[in-house]
Amino acid sequence: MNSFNLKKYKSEISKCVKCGTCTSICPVYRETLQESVSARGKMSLIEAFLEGEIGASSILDKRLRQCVQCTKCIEECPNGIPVDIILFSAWRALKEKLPTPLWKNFAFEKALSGAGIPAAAGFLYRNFGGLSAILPVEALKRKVSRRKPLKFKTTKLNSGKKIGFYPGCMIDSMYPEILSYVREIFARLGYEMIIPSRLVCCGLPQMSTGNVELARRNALVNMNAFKDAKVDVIITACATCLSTVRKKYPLLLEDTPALKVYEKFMDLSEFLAGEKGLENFPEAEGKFTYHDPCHLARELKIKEEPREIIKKISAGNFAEADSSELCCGFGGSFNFENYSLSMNICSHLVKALKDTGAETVITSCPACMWQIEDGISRSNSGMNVMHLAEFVLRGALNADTDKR
Amino acid sequence: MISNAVKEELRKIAGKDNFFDEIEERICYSYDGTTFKSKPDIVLKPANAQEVSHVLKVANREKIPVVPRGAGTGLSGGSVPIEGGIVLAMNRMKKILSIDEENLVAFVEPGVINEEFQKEVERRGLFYPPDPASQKMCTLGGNIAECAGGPHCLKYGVTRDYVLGLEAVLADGSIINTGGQVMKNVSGYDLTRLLIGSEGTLGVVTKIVLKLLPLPEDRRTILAAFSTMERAAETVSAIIASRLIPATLEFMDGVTVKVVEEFLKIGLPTTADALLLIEVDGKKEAVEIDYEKIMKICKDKGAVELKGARTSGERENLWKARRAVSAALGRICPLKLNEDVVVPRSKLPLLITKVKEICTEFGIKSANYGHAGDGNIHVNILIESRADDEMKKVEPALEKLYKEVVNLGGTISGEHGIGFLKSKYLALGAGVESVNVMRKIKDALDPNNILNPGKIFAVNPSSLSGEEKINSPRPSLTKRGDNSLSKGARKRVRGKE
Ligand SMILES: Cc1cc2nc3c(=O)[nH]c(=O)nc-3n(C[C@H](O)[C@H](O)[C@H](O)COP(=O)(O)OP(=O)(O)OC[C@H]3O[C@@H](n4cnc5c(N)ncnc54)[C@H](O)[C@@H]3O)c2cc1C
Ligand code: SF4
Ligand code: SF4
Repeated sequence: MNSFNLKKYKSEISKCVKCGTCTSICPVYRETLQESVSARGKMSLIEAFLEGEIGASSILDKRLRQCVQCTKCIEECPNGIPVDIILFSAWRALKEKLPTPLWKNFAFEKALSGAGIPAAAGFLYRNFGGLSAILPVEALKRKVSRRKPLKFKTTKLNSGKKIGFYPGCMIDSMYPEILSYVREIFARLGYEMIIPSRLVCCGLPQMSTGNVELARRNALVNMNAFKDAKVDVIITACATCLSTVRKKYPLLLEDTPALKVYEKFMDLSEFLAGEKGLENFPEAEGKFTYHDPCHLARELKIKEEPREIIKKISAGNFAEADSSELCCGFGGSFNFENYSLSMNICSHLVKALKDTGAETVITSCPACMWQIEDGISRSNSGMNVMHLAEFVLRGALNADTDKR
Repeated sequence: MISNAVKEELRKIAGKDNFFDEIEERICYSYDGTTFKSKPDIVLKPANAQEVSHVLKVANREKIPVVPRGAGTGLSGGSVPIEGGIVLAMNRMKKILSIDEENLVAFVEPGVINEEFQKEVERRGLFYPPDPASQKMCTLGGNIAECAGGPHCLKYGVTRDYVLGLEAVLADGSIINTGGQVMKNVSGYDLTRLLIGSEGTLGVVTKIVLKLLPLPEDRRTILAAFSTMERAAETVSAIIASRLIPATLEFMDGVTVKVVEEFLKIGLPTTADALLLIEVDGKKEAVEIDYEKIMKICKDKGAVELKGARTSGERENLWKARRAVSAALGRICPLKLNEDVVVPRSKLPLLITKVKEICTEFGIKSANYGHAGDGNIHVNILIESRADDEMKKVEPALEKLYKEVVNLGGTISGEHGIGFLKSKYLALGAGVESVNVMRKIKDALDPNNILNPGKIFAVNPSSLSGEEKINSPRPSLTKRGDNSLSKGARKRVRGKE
C-alpha cells in the first residue's frame, strides 16, 4: 500500500524546519517535556531511522508510539507535515522488524477484526470485572459505568426512510446503550435504522499496531457491507470511527473507487443539526458542558453542530469549558501502554470541565467518554459523562418517567 | 568521550529519569530552530540550581562542554552542542514562583514558556511586553540568553528592559544572584545585563526577576497592504515622523504573505507587495485618536487595502499569521538562514533596496519581513539545497549584507544572537576592541571554556591571544565548521544533506 510506505515521506519529513510549534500543543510532550515524543522529535527519529543512523530499537518504538493521535501537531504545523500518516507508515515499517506483543496482537488485531467478537469481549469485561486477569494492562482495572439499554414508550413515526448506522467497537462492546439511543432518536424523527451484519472494527487500532493490511481488509469488509445495504446516509456516533473512515479510508482503498461508500458517512451531530424534528424534543434539565473529541473537532472541524444541538435542548444552560485545546489523553493503545501518563493528560481536561460548574459533560465519542469517566472518578469531582445521543433524549426520558 | 564513572556521577545528580545517553534521545537534542545538528553525549534535565551547580562542578573538573537549552527554538544555533558534551535541558524548571502585584514584579524559573507567563500576568491585569514570534514555545531562560525581541519592542523595549535580577550558576558551579527586585540598582557592575544576551556562555540562568507593566486598557489593530515595498517603507517613516509610536509596526513582503495565507487561509491580500501590521494601545480615547491618524497616513500613502480588526478573533488571526511566517517559509524552502539585521529606522528603505541588489548580484532568493518600526528586518536567505555550490553563493552574499548594514549604522543581530552561525562576523558587528573585552570576560568567568563552547566566539578564547583571536579563521558555513572547530565538532555539525 503505497500511501503507507515510509520511504515515500522522506521529502515531507525534511520539510520540518524544527520551529518547535508542535511542542507547544502536543499533550504528550507537555506532560513529559521529552523532546523525542514531540512531532519535531519524532520526525528527527524517523529521519535517522531512514538514513540508517539508528535501527528498529525499542526506544524508537516506544517514543514513536507515545502519541495520542490528537492531530494537533498537524493542525498547527506551519509546514503542513502529515504527521499521522507518517507515523502509521513508521509503525508499519517497525512492525516488520519488531514483533507486536502477543496481548496487543490479540486485543487490537485479532479480536477487533472478527465480527461479533468485540461485543463478546465487552460483555465479558462489563460483567466479569475486567479482562485484567488475562491482559497485562493496568488500564483494564478501571470501571465503566453501566447503563442498561432503555426501553422507550413513544409512538414511532415511520416514514419508510432508511438510515445506515455504523456502531464501531467501542459502542458495540462498551456502550451498547448508545445504540439504543440512536435508534430511538431516528425513530422519533421517522427513520428506520439499518445496521448491516458483518461489520468489523473501523481499522484504526490495526493501523496503530502497524498492521495496515488488516486495516485495509476491515475497510473493505465495512464498505462492502454498506454498499449492499443501499442507504444514502451512514451515521456514526464515534468520532474516531468517523475520522478513520473519512480521512484514512481514501488512502486505504485508493485502488477501489467503487467502494467510495465512505463519502456517505457523517457524524450524528452533523445529521441532527439539520433536522427540523429536533425542535419537538423536550428540553433537558441541568447544566451542561461539552468536550470536543480531537478526531471530530480538529481532524474534521466538526465543532459547531454539537453545540447547536446542546444549546437547543438545554435551554441555553450550557457552559463552554476553557478546554477547547485539551485532549482526553486516551489515544487507543496509548492508554493501555502509558496508563498513568494518559491519566495525567486527562486530569487537565477534567479540571477545566469541572471549572465550568456543569454537572454533566457531553461528548461525541465513546472513547473520550471512557477516558473522562475514569478521569472524573479519580478526581472525585462527581460530574457525569454522557454521549450526545443520550443527551438528546434526556428531556424525553424524564417526560416518559413522569408519565409513568 | 565521557567515562562511565563520570556518567554515573552525573546520573546520580539528576536522577535516572532525567539522565539520557541513548542515541535516540541524543538525536532529539541535537538541533534547534536553525535545523543544524550535532549530537550531545548526554542530556540532563536538572530540577533546581543546586543540581545545575553540581553538574557544572563535575563538568568543569572533567572539562566537558555544557550547553544550556530552553525550547531549542533559537535561530543562531545557540543550543546546538557543536562540541558535544552535556545538554542541560532547562524546561523542567518551569514554575512561576510568584507574581507580586503590589510591586509589579514576577519571579520565575527559566523553563517557563513565554506565552504561558504572558497569559498568567494578563489574568491579573498585568503585562509582560517581550513577545518573540516563537512565544508559544520558547522559554524565558532562552529569551534572556538571546535578549529576545518581538513586535512590542518598538514601543516597549526588548527582554533586557524587563529583567531586574537573575540567579545564575557559573562555570565553576558557584551560584550568584545579580540585581534584585528593585527598579533602580547601581551597586557595582551590572552583571544582570552582562548575562542577558550571553547565549549560555557565561552562566546558566536558574531564576529570573521580571518587571511588569499594567495591561493597556485598549488595543486596535490595522492591516494595510501596499503595491510596492517602497510605499510601505515610506508609510513607516511617515508614522514615526508624525511622532506616533504604535505598539507594533510590522511588515511582511509579498512572498511571506503568500506563504502564510497558504497555511492559514484567513484572506490576507496575496497580490500586495508589502503588508503592514500596526497596533496601537493605551487609554481608550488615545487609542481611538492614534488609530484614526494612522489610518489616514496609510490612505494618504496609497494603501491598496486597509482594514481594522473588529473582533479579538480577527486580531488573533492577524497575529497568528505574523507569528507563523518564519516557520511557514519551510513550505517553499526547507533550509533558510533567518537573518535579523538591524539599521537605524530611517535607513530601512535603503536597506530594502540593498537586499534586492545583493540578491540579484548573487542570484539568490530571499523573503523579508520583520519589525519595520525599529529597523529590525528578517532577511531570510532561501537555500534550495545544502549542496556546496549553493552554500558558496550564500556566504559572500551574507558577508556583503552584513557590511552594508554596518555601513548604514546598524548591526548584524538584533534578536537572534550570534550563536555559531554568525560567530565569524562578530567583530564586524561589535568592533574589534569590544570583542577583545568580551573575550577577557569569557576567559575570566569560564577559563576552561566549558560553557557553550564555539558560540559567539568561533575559537577557544583561552588558546589564542589579542589580535590573533579576531583574525583567526572562523567556522565557515560552506564547510560547516571546517576551520576552527575541533575534529569531533566538525563531524557533528552537519545539516541534513
Ligand atoms: C518560528 C520562530 C520565530 C522566532 N521569532 C523570534 C522573534 O520574533 N524574536 C526573537 O528574538 N527571536 C525569535 N526566535 C528565536 C528564538 O525563539 C529565541 O531566540 C528564543 O529566545 C530562544 O528561546 P529557547 O527557549 O528556544 O532557547 P534555545 O534555543 O534552547 O536556546 C537559545 C540560547 O539560550 C541559551 N539558554 C537557554 N536557556 C538558558 C538558561 N536557562 N541559562 C543560560 N542560557 C540558556 C542556550 O544555550 C542558547 O545559547 C524565533 C524562533 C522561531 C523558531
Ligand atoms: S511544527 Fe511542523 S515544522 Fe515545526 S517543528 Fe513541528 S513538525 Fe517541524
Ligand atoms: S498527534 Fe498529538 S500526541 Fe501525537 S505527536 Fe501530534 S500533537 Fe503529539
